[in-house]
Amino acid sequence: MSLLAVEGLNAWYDRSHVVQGVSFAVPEGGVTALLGRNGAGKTTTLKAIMGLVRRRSGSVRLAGQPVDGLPTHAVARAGVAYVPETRGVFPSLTVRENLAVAMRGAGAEGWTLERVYGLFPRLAERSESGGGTLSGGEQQMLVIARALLTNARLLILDEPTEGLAPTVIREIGACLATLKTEGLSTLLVEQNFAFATALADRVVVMGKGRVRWEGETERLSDDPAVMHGWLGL
Amino acid sequence: MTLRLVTLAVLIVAAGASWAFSGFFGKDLLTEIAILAIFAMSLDLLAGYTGMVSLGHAAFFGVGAYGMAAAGSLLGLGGLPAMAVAVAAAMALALIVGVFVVRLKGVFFIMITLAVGQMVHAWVFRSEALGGDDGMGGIIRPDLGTIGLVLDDPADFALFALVLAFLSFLALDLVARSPFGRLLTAIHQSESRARALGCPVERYKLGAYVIAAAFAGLAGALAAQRDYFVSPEFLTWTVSGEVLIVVIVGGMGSLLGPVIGAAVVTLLKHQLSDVTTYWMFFLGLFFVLVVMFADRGLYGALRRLKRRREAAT
Repeated sequence: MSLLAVEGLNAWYDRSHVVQGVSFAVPEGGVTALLGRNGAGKTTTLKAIMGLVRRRSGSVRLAGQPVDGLPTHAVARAGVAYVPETRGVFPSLTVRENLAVAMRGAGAEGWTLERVYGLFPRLAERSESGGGTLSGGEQQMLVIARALLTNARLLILDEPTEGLAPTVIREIGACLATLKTEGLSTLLVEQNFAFATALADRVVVMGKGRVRWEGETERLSDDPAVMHGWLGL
Repeated sequence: MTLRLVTLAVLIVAAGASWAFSGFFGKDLLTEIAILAIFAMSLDLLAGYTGMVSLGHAAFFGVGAYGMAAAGSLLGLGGLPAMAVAVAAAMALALIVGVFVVRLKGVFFIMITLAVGQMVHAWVFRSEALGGDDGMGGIIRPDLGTIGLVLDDPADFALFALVLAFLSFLALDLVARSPFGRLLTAIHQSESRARALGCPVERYKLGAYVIAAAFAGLAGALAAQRDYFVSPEFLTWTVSGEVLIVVIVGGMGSLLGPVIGAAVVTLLKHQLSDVTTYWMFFLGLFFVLVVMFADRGLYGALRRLKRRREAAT
């Protein structure tokens, strides 16, 4: 059974029908990449899954349970951790406080402060620094760590490498690879094609608000129409 | 030693020295400052920490004051039970109003709280049971003879108000530093991020609204005792505006800032009105200068000064 099953998802901004009947699945464990050009509807799809878009329809199920009618905080508590494109560090809180606001006791996934500090040692070094004083890479580490502390079953990342230096991208990639080996399911939206395909087992390609291709990562390059037509490669 | 501890120590020493060496007028002034400080700190939890800028906070102050008066004169309760009733009444009103208003943000929240404040004022103004525009008297101060305090004595009452202001600071500081308080700050900085972390934002905002109302109600109950009288004046929107100015002048989101603001605004008001009939003009000028030049109020200016000195050394 899929961990996340999205069926016939629609989302609108005012009259603009941005996501049009999108269906895809994220299997338990591993990384699924949601790719597409700018304006393809990827971020809106994530927001619709999280209940952050006011006008939406369709079905979203997490481990078989419907979450599409739930408010955002309830979707998060059901086990979906969403890291938005804008990162979303709370600037006036320290690193430790940023992490503490996400902690809801030890869940089944067993993420603790010590464990995330082990994964991101730089956060441990800067635990008393203000969130607003961190570099872009450190902020990205912080929001991923914070998402893990919600003890989520599914991690949703929206463009985690955007605006980061190549060395930091490699560091983030190594952390996500570690999480993958630990069995965490991840849905990754990414413009950085090389980064996404190096991590992902499956790829979903979106274009103009619809799913245009879905399959194993290694099969993607066999389809030049998708590569050129919907990814511009 | 942190700026926070130094400021707190200075405020305690200044209050203690003023209490010990001032006469009747000075002690009455201290009582006024202590009451305004509690009221301003309660609004700071709402506006400074949670980002809910209210223009109707006088409703809870007034309900606390009227709760104190009604519990004493209509229900025949003693001073301390009447204070408990006053605080409970303010919390109950906040719970009812809060369910609706916490869903709103920005200017809509400001306008709805202003409207609710005016509705409560209008109701009290017309209520015959509460004395209408004549107000109510017959307020009894608590009997604290067992600990050697006679609250009908201005010195003892000033001490009582100061101790309550200090305890209110400790309680609100505890709230602000708790995981609940940190989430209020998180909500202030981004509601959608807090939601994505599983935080039921409206429930947390309602919690903050009710806690803030409790302390505003306490301040109202003390104000009623100070004057031995309450009137619809306690509930006017200008009272809400004035306390908001105190919070802004002192420095939002610090709790100590509003205490400084309460002291500075009260002292300025009294000193300026002694020397000029245009005192409101000069008070207004002071507010403008603070807002323009002291980033995040007077406490914010102290913080900046400390940072500069640290950088220089």
